[in-house]
Amino acid sequence: MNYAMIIAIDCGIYIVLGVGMSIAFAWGGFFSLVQGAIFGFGSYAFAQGYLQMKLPWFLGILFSFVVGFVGSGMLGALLSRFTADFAVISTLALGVALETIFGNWNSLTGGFSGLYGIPRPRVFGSSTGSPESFAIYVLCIALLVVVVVLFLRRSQAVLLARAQAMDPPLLASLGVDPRIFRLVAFSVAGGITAIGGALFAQSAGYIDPSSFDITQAFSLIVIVVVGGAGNIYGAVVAAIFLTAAPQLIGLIPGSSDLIAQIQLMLSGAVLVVSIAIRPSGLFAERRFVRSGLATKSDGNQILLNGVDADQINAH
Amino acid sequence: MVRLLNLIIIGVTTGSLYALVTVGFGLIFNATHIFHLAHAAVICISAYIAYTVSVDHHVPLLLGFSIGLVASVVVGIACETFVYGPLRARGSDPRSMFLMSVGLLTVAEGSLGAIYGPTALSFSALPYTSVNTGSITVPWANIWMLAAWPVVVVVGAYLKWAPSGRMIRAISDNWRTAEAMGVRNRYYYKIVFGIGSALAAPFALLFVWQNGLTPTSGLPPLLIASAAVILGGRESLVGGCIWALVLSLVGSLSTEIISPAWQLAVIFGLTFIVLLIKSMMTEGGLLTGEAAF
Repeated sequence: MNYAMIIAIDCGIYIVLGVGMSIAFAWGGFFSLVQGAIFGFGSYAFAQGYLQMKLPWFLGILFSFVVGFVGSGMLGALLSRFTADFAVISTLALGVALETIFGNWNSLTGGFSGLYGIPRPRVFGSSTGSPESFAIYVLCIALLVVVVVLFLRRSQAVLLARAQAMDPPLLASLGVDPRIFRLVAFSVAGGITAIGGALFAQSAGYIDPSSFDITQAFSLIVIVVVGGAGNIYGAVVAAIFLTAAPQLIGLIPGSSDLIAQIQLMLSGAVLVVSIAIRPSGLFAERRFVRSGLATKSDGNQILLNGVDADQINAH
Repeated sequence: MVRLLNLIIIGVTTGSLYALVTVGFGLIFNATHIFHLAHAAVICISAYIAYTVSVDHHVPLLLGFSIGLVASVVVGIACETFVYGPLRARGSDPRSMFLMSVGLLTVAEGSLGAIYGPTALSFSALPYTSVNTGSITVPWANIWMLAAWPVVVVVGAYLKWAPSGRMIRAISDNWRTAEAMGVRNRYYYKIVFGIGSALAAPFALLFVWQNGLTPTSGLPPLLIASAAVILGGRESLVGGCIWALVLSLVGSLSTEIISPAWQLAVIFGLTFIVLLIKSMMTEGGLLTGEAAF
């Protein structure tokens, strides 16, 4: 039973991380390989928020979100200056540089020794020290994140952000500056990723830089590719599968010591198969309707161009 | 002063090694436009096979290295034949190719970790001693790294004068025109993957001699090599080699000026800053709101 709860906790954390990565791409418009570092921002922010400032859990999570939001905003402002040729290597270089900084900034991160003594929270007076109660706590926060993101997805600002990710020249021709939407979207995604970091810090009780390296970003990429960029439901399903499957395989006798390696192999294999068979993702988000005719509820036909298929169906 | 000279020697010799992997990666990247991150896996596979043959089975190191070299060529050509080639034929974009290389790298790292474990391995047949000339101390590993330059020169000469080398340069310049002129691109893509992967084998041996072998050994030097390729200009392997030397020298000197622990941060921080400046000097780019990748 405890093992099932541990799997549930990990699934909850990776749901939050996967949703953050998915909207970083779908709303922000570019594949970021620094999400592993932003995950670290959130973890260290929560840890120091408790250890130095004695923040309660909800303020600690809020603090992590703010740090992730601001940090992503700053990184996004820098990354948006790069041309396409330099985008990949620049995010890789930044990810490695931040990983090294985490390992050497002893006063802030504890260096390679890390930070420890991060407790599980007391929620409404009840301890979440047991695996069952902490799993409920993590899954509730993950559910809250998913609900908020689904709610935001229909907002005008997010529709504009998604539009600019799909067709920036069209949006620019309509007189809308896409840059601010990209930046805010990427910042929100970073804040959500940082919340995942806060949950991770509370789950492990101890954090060190090895959890926030470039391979963490690769794991999150797999969730986005498998789940379909921008598809929140896909990100949830992909996160659950890619987190739970290696743990369940680890139950096979003789393989319990190889869970980390199994996770790597499974993630890589799923990524390879997804790209080969279904590059848009197993749950690809429906595309905008580019052009064509549709029949409105009053029987009149309209000529469509760049209209969301969901909006058509709603009328 | 002596300390500074020592650091410069270490930087130049290590830069020679990075120039080798820069040429290999650059050859593949320039010709195929694939950010072949799985090249890090090719490096590791070559080293692990050489280790298995020479250390576990007590075979002479040269033979073990040769088998590792053959293995790296086979893996490289297999990547092109069975993975990238079919994706290219389907019209996949560069992002899909990059994601595929991430998948391959992840599978390889997990597999190598499961087979060999995370502990760093070393080749017992290699001398871990140094050459002392007065107050200058240079490890034998670093001296052997200078052997990378003849290999780089041979590859450069091949690209410049050999008929197939000129074809590869033509494809790197404009693959559509080359194809229209009757060049069999798919055949030459396999050649560049073969040559690039072959260069991974000597790099792997020399790098592991100095740093030890783990399943993730290949990624940091590959990132430095890819930075050198991008910074040096996509069509200029000479530029890439120069930047490999520069990045290595900067990293070496930073161990004295700042701290050895900050070496990677300095190297990649410099890469980030230079790329930022180059991007801001280039017209267009992401200010238009286009997705980068």
